[in-house]
Amino acid sequence: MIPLAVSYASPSVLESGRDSQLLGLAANDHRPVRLVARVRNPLLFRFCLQTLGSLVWSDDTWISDDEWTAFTLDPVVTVHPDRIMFEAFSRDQSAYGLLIIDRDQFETSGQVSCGTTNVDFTAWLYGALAEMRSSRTTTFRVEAGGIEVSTRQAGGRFEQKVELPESWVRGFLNISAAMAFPGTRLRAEPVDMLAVIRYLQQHKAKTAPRALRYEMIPGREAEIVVEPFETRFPLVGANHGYPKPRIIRTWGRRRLRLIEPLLPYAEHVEIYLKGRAMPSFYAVGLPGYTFVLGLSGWTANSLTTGTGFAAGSSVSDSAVDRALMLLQQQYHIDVETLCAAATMDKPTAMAALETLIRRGRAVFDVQARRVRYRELLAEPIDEAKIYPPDPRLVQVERWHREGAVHIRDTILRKTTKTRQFKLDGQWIQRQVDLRDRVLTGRVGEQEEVEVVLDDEGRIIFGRCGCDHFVSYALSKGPCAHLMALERQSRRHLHDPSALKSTANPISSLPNEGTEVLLDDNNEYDDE
Amino acid sequence: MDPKAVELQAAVIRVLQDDRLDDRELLKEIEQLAASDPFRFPGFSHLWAPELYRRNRFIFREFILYRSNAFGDHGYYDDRGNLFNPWSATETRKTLEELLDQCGKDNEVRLFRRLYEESIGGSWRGAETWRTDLKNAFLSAADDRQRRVALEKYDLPSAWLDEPTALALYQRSPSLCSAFILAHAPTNLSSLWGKPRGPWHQLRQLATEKGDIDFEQKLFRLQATEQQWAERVRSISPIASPQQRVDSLDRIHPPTTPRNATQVYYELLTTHGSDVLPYVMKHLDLRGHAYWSGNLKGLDKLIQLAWDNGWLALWAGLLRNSDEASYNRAITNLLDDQGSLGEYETKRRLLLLAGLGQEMNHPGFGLALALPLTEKTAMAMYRRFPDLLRTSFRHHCRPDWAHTYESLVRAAIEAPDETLVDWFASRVITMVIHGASHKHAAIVRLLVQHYETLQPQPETLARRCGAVLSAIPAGVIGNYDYLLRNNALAQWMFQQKLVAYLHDPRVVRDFLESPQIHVNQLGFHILSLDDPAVAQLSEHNLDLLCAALLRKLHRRTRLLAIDALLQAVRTERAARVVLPKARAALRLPDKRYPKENLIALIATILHRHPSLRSEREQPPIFDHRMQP
Repeated sequence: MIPLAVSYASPSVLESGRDSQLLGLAANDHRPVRLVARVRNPLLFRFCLQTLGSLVWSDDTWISDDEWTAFTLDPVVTVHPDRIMFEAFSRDQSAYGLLIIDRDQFETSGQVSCGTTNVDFTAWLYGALAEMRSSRTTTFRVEAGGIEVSTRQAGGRFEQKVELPESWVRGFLNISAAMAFPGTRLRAEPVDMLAVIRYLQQHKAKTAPRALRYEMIPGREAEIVVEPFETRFPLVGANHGYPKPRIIRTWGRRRLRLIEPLLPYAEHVEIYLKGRAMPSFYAVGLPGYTFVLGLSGWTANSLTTGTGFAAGSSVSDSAVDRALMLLQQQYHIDVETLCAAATMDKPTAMAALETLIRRGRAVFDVQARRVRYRELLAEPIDEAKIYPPDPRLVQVERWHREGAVHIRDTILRKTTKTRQFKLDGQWIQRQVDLRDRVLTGRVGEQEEVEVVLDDEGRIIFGRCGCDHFVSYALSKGPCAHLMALERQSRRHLHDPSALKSTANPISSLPNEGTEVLLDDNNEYDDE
Repeated sequence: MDPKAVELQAAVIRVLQDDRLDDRELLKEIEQLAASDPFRFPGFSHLWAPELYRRNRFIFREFILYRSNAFGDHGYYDDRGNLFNPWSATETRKTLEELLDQCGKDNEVRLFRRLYEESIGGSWRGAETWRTDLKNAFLSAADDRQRRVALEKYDLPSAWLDEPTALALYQRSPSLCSAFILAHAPTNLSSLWGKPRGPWHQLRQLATEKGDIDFEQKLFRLQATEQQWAERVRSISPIASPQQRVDSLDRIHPPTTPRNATQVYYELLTTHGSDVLPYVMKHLDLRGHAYWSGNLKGLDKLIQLAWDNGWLALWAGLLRNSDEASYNRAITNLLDDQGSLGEYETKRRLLLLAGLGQEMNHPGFGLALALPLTEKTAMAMYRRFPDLLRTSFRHHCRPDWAHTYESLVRAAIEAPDETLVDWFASRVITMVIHGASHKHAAIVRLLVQHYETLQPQPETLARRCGAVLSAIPAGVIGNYDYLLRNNALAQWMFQQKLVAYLHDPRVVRDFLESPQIHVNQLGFHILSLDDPAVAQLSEHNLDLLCAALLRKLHRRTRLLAIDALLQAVRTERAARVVLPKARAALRLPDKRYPKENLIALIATILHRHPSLRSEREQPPIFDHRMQP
């Protein structure tokens, strides 16, 4: 358990009068943040907060009394100069919500203190949000203490020390790591997502399979197929640019109903698929607001199991410190900015940012593909406590000691793909060259192991014959064999003597135009 | 004998013996078979589970887990369709034991647990066997990894350890098995059905010797009786720093607050003073135990102690969690005090008492305790601090079957206090008033009379009625028609002339934003009126009307929303906004969606605004002179 001191001077309140209303979120006294502002669009503000509330209290899994931990961390609010973010994580640890609001949606008054804090957000307040009306002038206030006399000390609470389960914190951190994972992006109309959700509500699948199948066929718009009914829902306008057919299946589709109330008001939905049974993200775009729903690969595969996606990166503390310093100054950066500002190579920059995410000091913005400064907890997280020793890493170390890892071949591969970009408000298509490294070799008892690393050094694809890979592919993180091969290649990059020992040194010859076969079980792609 | 079971068994065997099927096809076939009779199918697990596991455990793992027998060791069917226990029949037992062994070797933890629990006849009946097997597996494991796997395999729900087994596990590897022991240690709660057990002394002593204080304290808090807990609390050293004392107390606090908590808190606060306040404040969930024990013994003494020492947060917290009588007595005492505290301090202390006591937040619902004010207390507060009653204490005087607050409503009407009257009306309007409840019928009559007097001022009436209807919470109206028949206020407000609400345009928007669907419906109804003023108002609310095309609504409400849109699309600007949304709504698969009305809406738009027609929607014009 991770002790966390939470102190609210007074409970959060919604004061509603004839002409005005005030939503005062009480912030944790230990993490002062201040924002007092008039809300320009109270209706969307209300709907988004209600959706976040539904997510906080949502639970799709059956958990026995023994396993039940009746605790959730209050939502985390981050105030930045250009936006405000609310983050929450569901009780069953399988859904994550991130509400992003542009600062121009608020007319601030007084001094604004940027930072991150927890806010008191009870089921009672969640119910009271329904009283908000757009016809009333709405003031939003988030600050520690300072609620005026009319509510001061009303139901005042004392400082509490709550204990966060490590697994819960790990889940929160894993989701950010999963967001940074490369994947497929589709832009759909809200009505098409709504059609899928409604169809699922009206049809109960009594037999497996029960996946949502995303089909990307060249020359056609992407489609969602609802299994086992095989009902197709074309995503109108969702261009994917894949030159070959591609299928991605995701499970736990019932959880999509969380975004249903927002869709009638939305302008578009961006779908981020990270691969088969991997987490998926749905960014609902509303004017000035974006609600990102993150779902684990399937409901029972909570985001808190194991080290998951956060495992693997190792980087020097000085690189991490430089990245953190830059992040604290600029609030948000991307890998390229960090490379240029801190003179480090791309894999190191990526690893440094991943480490910050892993430590809860940053969050990945899946839309802008930038990393944002956000301290999840007031105190830095003890990594050893959050991430217990991973048996896979222990195994990897053993193989390395025993010399049981051999890289047979390394190919630098260039793949040209069509991608969509927004330029001056217009969507345009461009050819993009992706450079991956394909490593094949032998690890332990596995003779044929293949791992593909992107230009930022992340494992994006693999093949192995072990039980772990056969059962889960990459949906629970790579198996020990893939990790061992990746570690070995990193040693080669930094240690020329090690390079000599490989049977075939890393080839510098690009294998242009190579495209691996992509199917349901083994697909990958880059942004 | 169950003939359907015999048929199903034959079908299962047929599918399993079909050599033409590969693993994927077999999965599909057997899934269909399972779905055809989900109740009986698990009863043949002893037939299909070993075979499927043997063929491909990766592909069939989830199917076996999901579909295997969940009715205990007697939930199986034999060849003649009779229920039997396969673990007692030699042949089936052998098959299942082989499967169990194989799962153990493959470290298929979930499958192993399922089968193992059944093989010992459940964790209750087979507790002794479970303890022995667990001990053997754990002690014979070669390394930590194998020990961890052993614990996972034998992690059966509701299986309780005894002290000798727990000792044996702990002696071998304290760090590995402490969490397991805590999860399977009998708690003091289980003593409710028998003699209190008390903590395991030997194990706690061993933990103390090893310096594992954390484990010792966790074990104690799980197993201590109320008396033992009280004794240990008393033994907390007053020399330690306040933070250390609070931490120590926290660590030994039982999972559910004991029935003697108030007495123990009293002793603790008397001895240690304000140093231990943070601990007591954290564990104020006394209310549940009042129901267990039938009283809150010692609570009054504790409240008095808090008051005397000026620990106002504790005083208020205790009162908010106390009972109605104590709560009202405290408020009355404050209100009666005319001099010693002063106006500001009295108000401040009253505010401390406003709000919720305990909260229980669960997925999908939350319960909160807000103690009600009696009518007498509410009146006293309204006379002295009307603003407090209107705001912070509003939720403490919610009309219900025990409280009508008639005198308070009369006072608010006479004041006149619009805000309070409207708020009361918004709660009364949802109550189904039966003939027998005269007090409630009287308050409804009183409110109806009050709103009827506003009829000469249409703008005020619209505003006031709007405030009442808009404040109705979501989901509180069960049977709308029944409510209208049995609540004169609801009938009067919901069924009065719709045009009356047009006197205040804001009211209509408030209705559309209401979480209560019947109020929403009223908003749509108003906007569907054929009136020039309505057309303008509809256009003003176009965002909400367009969303109604996609929202989850009943057919009747949706029809009203479409009618309202028909009024809104009189101008081309509005039609341009509505048309793409209407076209998109055609893609919804909702079964009872009035698509014909939606098409009528699109047709009306295209008819009124020809410039919006697409190329395909231009009407073909045939000229007879062109024909040969």
